[in-house]
Amino acid sequence: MPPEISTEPSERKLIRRRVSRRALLAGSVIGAQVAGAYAVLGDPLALFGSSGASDGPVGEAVRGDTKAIFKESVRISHLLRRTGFGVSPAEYDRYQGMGLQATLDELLNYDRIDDSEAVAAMQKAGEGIGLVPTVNSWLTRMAMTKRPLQEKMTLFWHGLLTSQLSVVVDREAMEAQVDIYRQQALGSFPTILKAVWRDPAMMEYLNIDGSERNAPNENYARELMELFALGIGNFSEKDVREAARAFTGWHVPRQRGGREGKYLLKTPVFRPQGFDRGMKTVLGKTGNFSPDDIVDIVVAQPASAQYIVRRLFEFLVYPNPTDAELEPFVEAYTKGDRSIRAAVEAILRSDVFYSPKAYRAFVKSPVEYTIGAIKALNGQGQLEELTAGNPRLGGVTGQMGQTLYEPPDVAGWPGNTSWLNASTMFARINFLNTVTGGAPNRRNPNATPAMGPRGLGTAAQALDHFVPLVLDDNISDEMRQLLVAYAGGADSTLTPEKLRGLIYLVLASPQFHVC
Amino acid sequence: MTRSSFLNGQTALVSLGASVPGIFARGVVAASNEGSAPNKTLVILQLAGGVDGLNTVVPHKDPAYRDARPQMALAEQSLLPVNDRAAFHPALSKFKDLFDSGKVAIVEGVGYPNPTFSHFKAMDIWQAADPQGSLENGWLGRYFDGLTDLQGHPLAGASVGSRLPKAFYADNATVAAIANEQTFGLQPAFGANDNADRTASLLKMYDLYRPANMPYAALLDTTLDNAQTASAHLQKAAAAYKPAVQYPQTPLASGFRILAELIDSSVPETGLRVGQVTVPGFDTHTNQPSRLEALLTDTSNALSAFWADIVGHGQADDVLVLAWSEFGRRVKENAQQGTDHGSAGLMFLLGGQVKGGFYGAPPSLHDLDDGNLRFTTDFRSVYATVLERWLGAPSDAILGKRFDQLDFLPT
Repeated sequence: MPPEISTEPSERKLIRRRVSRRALLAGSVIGAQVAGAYAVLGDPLALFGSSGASDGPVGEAVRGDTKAIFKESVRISHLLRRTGFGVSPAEYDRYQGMGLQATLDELLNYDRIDDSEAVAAMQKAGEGIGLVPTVNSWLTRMAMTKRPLQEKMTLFWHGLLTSQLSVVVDREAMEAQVDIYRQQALGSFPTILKAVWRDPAMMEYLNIDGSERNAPNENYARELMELFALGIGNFSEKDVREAARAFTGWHVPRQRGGREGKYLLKTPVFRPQGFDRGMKTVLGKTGNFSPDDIVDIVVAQPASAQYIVRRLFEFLVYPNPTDAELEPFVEAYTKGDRSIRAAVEAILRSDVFYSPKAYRAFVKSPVEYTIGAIKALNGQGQLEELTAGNPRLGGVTGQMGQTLYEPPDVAGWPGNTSWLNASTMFARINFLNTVTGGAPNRRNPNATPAMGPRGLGTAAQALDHFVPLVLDDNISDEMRQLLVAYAGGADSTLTPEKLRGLIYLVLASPQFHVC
Repeated sequence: MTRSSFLNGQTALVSLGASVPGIFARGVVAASNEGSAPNKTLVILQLAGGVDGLNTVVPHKDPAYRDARPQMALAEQSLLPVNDRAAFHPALSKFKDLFDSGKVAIVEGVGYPNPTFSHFKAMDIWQAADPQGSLENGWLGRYFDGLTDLQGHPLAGASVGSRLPKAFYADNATVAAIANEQTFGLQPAFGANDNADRTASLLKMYDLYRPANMPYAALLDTTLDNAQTASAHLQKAAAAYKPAVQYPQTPLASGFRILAELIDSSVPETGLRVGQVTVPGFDTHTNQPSRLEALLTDTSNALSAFWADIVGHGQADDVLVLAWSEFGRRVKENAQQGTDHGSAGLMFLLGGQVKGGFYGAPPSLHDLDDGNLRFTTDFRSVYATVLERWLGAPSDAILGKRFDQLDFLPT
């Protein structure tokens, strides 16, 4: 049953104001006239930003819908969700104060920013053995980093050029692989591909290790073409078999030991006698190719530019773009000497990135969902305390279907709608119960969850703080009324329990699942 | 149709104001499976990683077996012989009791043409029932898509584990993934007095999120709505259910126990049609002897407890277990006390209606294909038999063509 709507005076006023807005919108008034009508109403939450009237059609916008993307403050929040993991209240104020262009410039030029605090926090969180500290360590870096785009692109590469800790076994080797992605996050695509086949974890994962000229293992050559850099339909089985001959002769020595007490992968060793020196014909080129030559041949294919730009677009903008929609970014990538930065920058500066079709176009991954909630609660500095219930954060994202360092298979996480099923829905919402203080903390009963700034004494104050922060100030009037009704009225004093409940509801909203 | 194109279609419907909770389930209108036997349950047991068939059901009289496995051939005196050709691994004593009671059918030499040696691709092939690897949905998902009476039964399909196996990927129907029975529900705020209000407000928010241009509104609303209903059904089933046996304390046994709760006929809403439990770890490239022994012990004991529970509830004739693995393993052992990926493998079925014994044909150890067993029986013949004779569903529509059926179930 929906809660009854309170009829105390302050709230009646609120409802009347919103009803009259809806009545206006239902009429034929459009564009500047609507904006003018808003000004007359004295609405401080103007629906359309300065760019709205000129940038796009606004006539039928209703609070809550995708045309909110025409407002600059929403564009900034949208950009930060896609290029990072959400924002803390202080970051929100800072980026909103800087404006869209300066925010974008700072995100792209992250190498100028000192991130040593996040690095130190990551190391501390990673102390101990087992999967949970391994995963928590990276999650901590994601939550603490001042270089969100670098960390987000690192996650992109981890989901594209995959390896699984359960197969590789050596945790340090997996962390070193992810560090390659971090260093090369916006680098040149061929440079990244040339670093990754040499990586001991990758050699182990896709069987370059031990592949000999007498019996070349096709695993790496196949995935390089099928999943990493070219896409199915753009190569033949013969291309795979021939390319596999170039990835022969390498061996990854193992040493007993390591933090987990298993083994460490050491620097790969090349044994010339195991390498196939014969002529190879791959994608129409013939020669005595080395692995780096194969990378160059693959990335020179027009289909490779299409493939990597599509993967970037589907990570940053929306699913299933047409080839025509990709074209400007394929061109930027190709003209930019196959630089990932060129493609990403062109995407982030494009109109299509800030279009209604791109707005809320993905279901958030578990990592985005959990870190976004923690940052909204200003809890990024106390990840351990906030999530030290059972299971801890690394285990929680696993319940939601995403364990860092452990993609489900070589194709990575399928993402988007596949994140949602009955169990993962409960895991997502129950995690919010934990971080808003609804679950007793078994490991540290004295820890108090972060709740944002002091002084959120009423529902109106709490909603005015959290709804812009996490929902772009873009929820329907009915939803706001529902939240106010739950709290017992807009201006009545909130008990701690009601404040926790209200924050839980804002974060558990359907809008917070999407990004 | 891909999942995303389906969702786009739903978004269009929603923008026309047609959104109601449960829209996905209600949209299922195909009538092809009318007449499905309503009280029958199929339980899928996935033995993930590739089971070494030769050390599970051992061709102990064939000298080629010991030649191929100088280190790892099982000692003759340890084996559990079932006939003059085959013997079970010593860890399968409880499984052998089930076999001896005539309720287990073992299908040998199962595979498909041009086998892949990739776990990932092989699992896809088995779950989509498509050796070409082009179908995005699963064979059981296609079965559910054809059912007309799923509305209000979100646990008609249930897989134990946090990820839904591809076999259950459907265009329309939703199948529940149950990671953990204790956490399968909305957790109340500890010590709070207004949990009922909070939950009511939560559900109402999802209901409200459906005017025009609200991305994924129907998916989010339906997922939470179905999850809530499923949680209530599961709680009711758990409260009503009294296990007839003590289950072992392993994840596999706990998974079987959850399915037994859902099968328990005293709670009719649950109506489990197809459930799945998975036991991982059969990828025994190294240290196979100790690992395989532990895995088979767990599988045999958990399955035996589950079956005793089903029998104890008088449901033996309504339950069928189907076990599969994505491939068998290489005939020759490797140098690290293990076996590498192979091709043809084993399936088995357990049920009160099963005609026990051996089916298919044992693959030859003398005529190998590049060191691997040649398959004798297409796995889709087993699926076709189960679809037609157990689930009452049209196998040719679900599998894309007609396959010969086996006689482990009565027609």
